[in-house]
Amino acid sequence: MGVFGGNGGHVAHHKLWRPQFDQPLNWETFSATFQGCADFAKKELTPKGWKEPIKIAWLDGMIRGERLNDYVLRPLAAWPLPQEERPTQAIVEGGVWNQNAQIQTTLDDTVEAVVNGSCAIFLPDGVITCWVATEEKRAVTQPENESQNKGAKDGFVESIRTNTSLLRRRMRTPELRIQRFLIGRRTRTPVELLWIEGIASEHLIRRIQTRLEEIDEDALLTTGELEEYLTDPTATAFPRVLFTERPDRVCKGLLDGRAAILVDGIPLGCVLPGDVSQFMKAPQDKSYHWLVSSGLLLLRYLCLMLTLLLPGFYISVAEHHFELIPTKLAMSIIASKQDVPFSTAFEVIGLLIAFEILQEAGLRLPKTIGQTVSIIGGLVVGQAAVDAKIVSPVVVIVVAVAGIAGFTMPNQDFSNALRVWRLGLAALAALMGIFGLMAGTAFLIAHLASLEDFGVPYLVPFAPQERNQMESQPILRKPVPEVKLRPGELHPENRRKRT
Amino acid sequence: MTRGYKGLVALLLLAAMAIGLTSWESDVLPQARDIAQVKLIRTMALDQGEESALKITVSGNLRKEGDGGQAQPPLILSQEAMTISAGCTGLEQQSDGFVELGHLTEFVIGEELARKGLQGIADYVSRDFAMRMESKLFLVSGATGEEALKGAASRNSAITDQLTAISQDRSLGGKEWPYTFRQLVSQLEDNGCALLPVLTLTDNPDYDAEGSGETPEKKIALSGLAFFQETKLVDYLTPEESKGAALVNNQDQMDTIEVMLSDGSVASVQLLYAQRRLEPEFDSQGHLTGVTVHIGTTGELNELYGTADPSQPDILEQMSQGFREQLRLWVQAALDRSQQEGADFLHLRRSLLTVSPLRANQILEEWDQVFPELELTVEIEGQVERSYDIDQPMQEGR
Repeated sequence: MGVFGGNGGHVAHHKLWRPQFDQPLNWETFSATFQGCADFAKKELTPKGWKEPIKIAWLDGMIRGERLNDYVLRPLAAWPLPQEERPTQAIVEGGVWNQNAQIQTTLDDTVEAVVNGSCAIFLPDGVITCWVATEEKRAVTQPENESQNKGAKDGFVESIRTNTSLLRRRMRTPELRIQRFLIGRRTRTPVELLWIEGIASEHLIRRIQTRLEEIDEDALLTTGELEEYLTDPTATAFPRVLFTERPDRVCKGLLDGRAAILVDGIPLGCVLPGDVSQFMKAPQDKSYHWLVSSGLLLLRYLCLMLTLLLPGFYISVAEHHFELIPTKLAMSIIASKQDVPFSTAFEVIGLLIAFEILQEAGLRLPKTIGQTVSIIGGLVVGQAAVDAKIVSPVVVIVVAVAGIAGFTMPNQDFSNALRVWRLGLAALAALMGIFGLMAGTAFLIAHLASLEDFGVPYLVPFAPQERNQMESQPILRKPVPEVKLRPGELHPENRRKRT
Repeated sequence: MTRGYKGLVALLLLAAMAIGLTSWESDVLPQARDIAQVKLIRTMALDQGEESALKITVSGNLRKEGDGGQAQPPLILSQEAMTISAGCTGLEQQSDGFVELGHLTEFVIGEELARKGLQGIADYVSRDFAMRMESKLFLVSGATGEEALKGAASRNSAITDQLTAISQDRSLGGKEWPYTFRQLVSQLEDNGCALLPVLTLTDNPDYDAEGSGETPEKKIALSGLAFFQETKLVDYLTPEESKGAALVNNQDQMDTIEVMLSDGSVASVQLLYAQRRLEPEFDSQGHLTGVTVHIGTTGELNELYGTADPSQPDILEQMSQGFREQLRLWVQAALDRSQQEGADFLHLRRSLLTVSPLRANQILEEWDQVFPELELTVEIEGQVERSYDIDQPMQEGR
């Protein structure tokens, strides 16, 4: 037992990954593999003149009935050749009307094909799998969390092939490479690595390929599992790769020389390596005039400071450094705190925690109820707390401003990391005043400066390794024609992107 | 759990234990003082003490007692001590909260103490980390600072608000109130002479002697300037000399000048702007023989009583002449007084050094001898402007 749980060191090692099923391939072993699976369906049919039936199996719900009936069962039922003429090869070459009919030789591959939506056809002289999967999926819809006024309205869905098609429609180049991996011993999740040949650094791609190949997990169901395998194991709350719902954002990353990863079942694209400037830029930044975008970017950096430092700064000045507060403001704060029984630090940290609880409650509940909870929690309880002199109105304003400033962060993961650090900095400020706050901030900067993934410093462009990294990745948005180079820190094969 | 995490958790636990064991009172961490317990002190009065060298009186702001409660008179505390620091420590013991001097913005000096010298006070404010060099300074004429603080206090007023209003009303052109500790120290460092604004206390006719506490017992007004030599109060300037001194020191103040015209009309001219420039005169040997004080100024016609037509150029010129003459009299009065007293409280020497840096050494050497006999001439340059024509208000006035 421990704070972070055990690492299971005393349990036997994971069994070898492949083959998972090493028995000989035949109907008995195949059926036994799916024993107890209620959705396992099978059928026998005997073509005219055959002594033995053809056995066909599939998983209900994974296949589309019309495809199985019309393009597999019907041609097989009407198969004209006798059983003795070794029909397997003939059937693969045109006996069934299926573009993805394959002869299988191992139980492992056959099982994998079936769980991926194929039917298995057991013939007297061999086994064939035909892809008859259902393509039921959610329609392409507008991204919920990254909507923009001026720009594309389509977002990723759970189907990996749909997602690649969304990218292909924007990147009409054969140099867009897509490499497939299957990750998860149990889930066998298709994961695809994308990059543009001739732009992305070969070294970067090789390192990502190695990382992906080394993943040995039972399941890959969430983005966090992927991120933690792709990045170095550093104890940081900050996101290291960019997850986005927007295909255009992934395209932008690919064109910069980054790589992207798509996971079947996750309606997000993953762009890597990530750096802090990526998490501060919103999708619509390129849609607005560069002056407006730069202004908004500055506003976001200001909000970053506010959300991170404001609660801590308020605690510092209200408990340790009164002389830093303008006199009239100090008088207002004193008047508002007259009857509040708690210390400023307790008020701020308590209210920050209450704010987090409210936020979590709003996320877990259905949307309509979540809004109600927010209103009741934020307005009614907040006002009641002020009226009851449990918290002072200034503290409510400070925590609310910090919270709202945090919502301006374009990336939720980045915003979450700031929430964690905000609480820590507030605690340090309560202990040591401005000194604690500054020490915490210095530690945070040092921590961020120590982060690096695939050779890319996390603090680019604030801490570039080379001077030219600033030119291609300015802190503010430059006019598009003036940005002629791709980010240098990615070491792209071709740095120039426009003349 | 990995070794790294174990180490982190162990470190956090150790830190928590260290804080717990060493306790809040230790020197390891700064002691927090919640702002709700703080008594903000805004004004400090310094007087000659009866039993000790000093009597320190401090005043806070008006206080709100509870939600919707009535405003209470400002907190006023007094303490006698040999030094200001010791007095402040004594004040802390009198209060039920933390006496916070970091927001002290005004000092009121009693006349008796001022005559003994301001050196110690300037030294204290310069050294103490909580004091602000921008704190404003006032001298109370014919009374003590304590009387000023207590006399101005009521349920609706505190001396701080009144002094703030005075300093804001008297400044012109957005300039800061010039009479601060920073300026005092700078002037004393230059030649030991300084000017300070003078407050006078008068009985408030609206004062309720029954004790309702709604109105203050005394009214505070700004009456002019007093000059200090060798850090000690020497004398008060007349109102005219005070106005002239302010003009020479580029501390232009909001003022209205009434000018009598030839037909008996009276024009009220608002002083809008004034900028002083010095022009030294040297003889063939390079000795300083005279100084012309140029005041560039602008006035604006505020009111006109009588039959004079302000759109006529000759009427405007009459107003300008009268306006310039009045300013000249003020400035000349200040210069004359400075020479009579042999105190360069207008800091002409310092200004001349910047005007004639090549002759700086000579000016410094000769100043004490030549200053009393120096020929000081005043030149006022400027016009009265008319803001608009009342008959044609929508057209350009001039």
